[in-house]
This record gives sequence, structure tokens and C-alpha cells, in this order.
Amino acid sequence: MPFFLCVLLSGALVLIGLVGLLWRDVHLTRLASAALMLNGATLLLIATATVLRQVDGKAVALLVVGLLPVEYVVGLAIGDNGNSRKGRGM
Amino acid sequence: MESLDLSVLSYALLALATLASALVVLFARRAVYASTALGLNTLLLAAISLTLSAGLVAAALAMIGMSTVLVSLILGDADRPCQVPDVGNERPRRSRGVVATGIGLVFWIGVGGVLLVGNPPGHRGATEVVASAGADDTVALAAALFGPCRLGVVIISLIVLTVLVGSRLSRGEH
Repeated sequence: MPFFLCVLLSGALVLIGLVGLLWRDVHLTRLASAALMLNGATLLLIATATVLRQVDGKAVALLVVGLLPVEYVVGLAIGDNGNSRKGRGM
Repeated sequence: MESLDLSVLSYALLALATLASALVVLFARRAVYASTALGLNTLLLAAISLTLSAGLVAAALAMIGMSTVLVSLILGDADRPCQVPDVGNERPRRSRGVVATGIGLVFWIGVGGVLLVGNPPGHRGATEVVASAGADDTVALAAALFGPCRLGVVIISLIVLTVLVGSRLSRGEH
């Protein structure tokens, strides 16, 4: 895929994620929006690493990919915890 | 790894599909739709990574995307709309557990990233492995990831994260 298309797509993903993070009130949608931003960052890292022939960039992209499920699980745990507190009247 | 060479139309279609799935995540009325669209977005990103000859990252993205789609479809309750908080409720205050988890995540990406890219004594970065041995990108990444020093850092980061999340959950139970 051409580099400029990757940069455009990455910027669009980060922008859509940011809008979702600021605009939506639903907890799960906010988590998904944050994951979209991580996806955009991953794409930019991979594209830049490919263009510059730096494999280290792909290593960092792998690290960011590893953050995806962690962010989702931690966000869900925090959301569940908040709901259970609401249920107890705290 | 050889990169996939596709036509311009294929690239445009791939980019449009990625954008469409992101917009579905943004405007989805039900949680299961948002999760499924996010999984599809991750799968499409894996396909894009393949065209950029990033095989290992593509494999990780494909596994995460596939598991997200499967979990959403199997566990998702399609009849239940997204939970919307009541109007007038105050936002919950950030507890110490959330801050601690955030610090754990910063530790994970910061220290882990620096040690992956940097060169601790006796270890070489992935780019140097490629330059010196003419190795494939995937082999170089594996060599960088599974060096003793870096693997230790990754394991310690995971333990820190697990402890933080565990303490957060246990505090919620009591």
C-alpha cells in the first residue's frame, strides 16, 4: 500500500477514534474508539518502518498491538467495577 | 517476507473498508455491533500490514481481530442496546486503581519500547540483526523480542500489569 494512503488512513482512524472518545457516552464505544486510535498508531508505525527500512518500528508496532487487548480488558474491568458500585448505591 | 502487490483499486477498497468499519464503531447503537466492527477493522489492518511486509505484526493483528469478532458474536447480546448513563449523574471520580493501571500501561509501552528499540549491553537491535546477518524481518523481530534481557522486561511488565489489574478487581469485589 502506498505510504501517503497509509498516513491518510492512519490519520483518519486516529481522528475517528478521538471523536468517539470525546463525543460518545457509552463505555464500550469509548473503549472501541481508543482501540481505533491504537490501530491508527500501529498502521503509521508499520508504514514508516517499512519506508525507512527500520525493523525497530515494527517491534514497537508489535508492542502497541499488544496493548490492544490489555486496554480492552482493563477498560471492561473498570466499567464492570463502576456498574457494580452503582448497583450497591456507592 | 515478500510483500503483497495489489492493484490501486484493491488498495482503495481496503482503505475504504477500514474507514467504513471505523465509522460503524463510531455510530453503532449496540455494543455488539461496535465490537464486531472493531474486530473487522483490526482484521483489515492485518491485511494492510501484509501489503507492507510486516508478517509478525499482521499475524498478531489477525489473531486479535479474529478473537474480537468471535467473542463479540458468541458472547454479544444483540437484543440489549448499549447502556447509556442516566442524565444528570455525575461522572465517577478516578480512583487510585485507575491511575495505577494507567501507570502500568505507561510502564509497559515506555520501558518495554525503549528496551526493544534501544541496545542494552550485549544485545543488538532488530535493524542491526537484519543488517549483520541479512535476516528476514520476522526473524529479526523474533531475535529482538526473545533476547534474554528484553524477554525479562516483557515478563516483568506483564506481571506488574497483572498485579495492578488483579488488585483493582479485588478492591472492587470487597
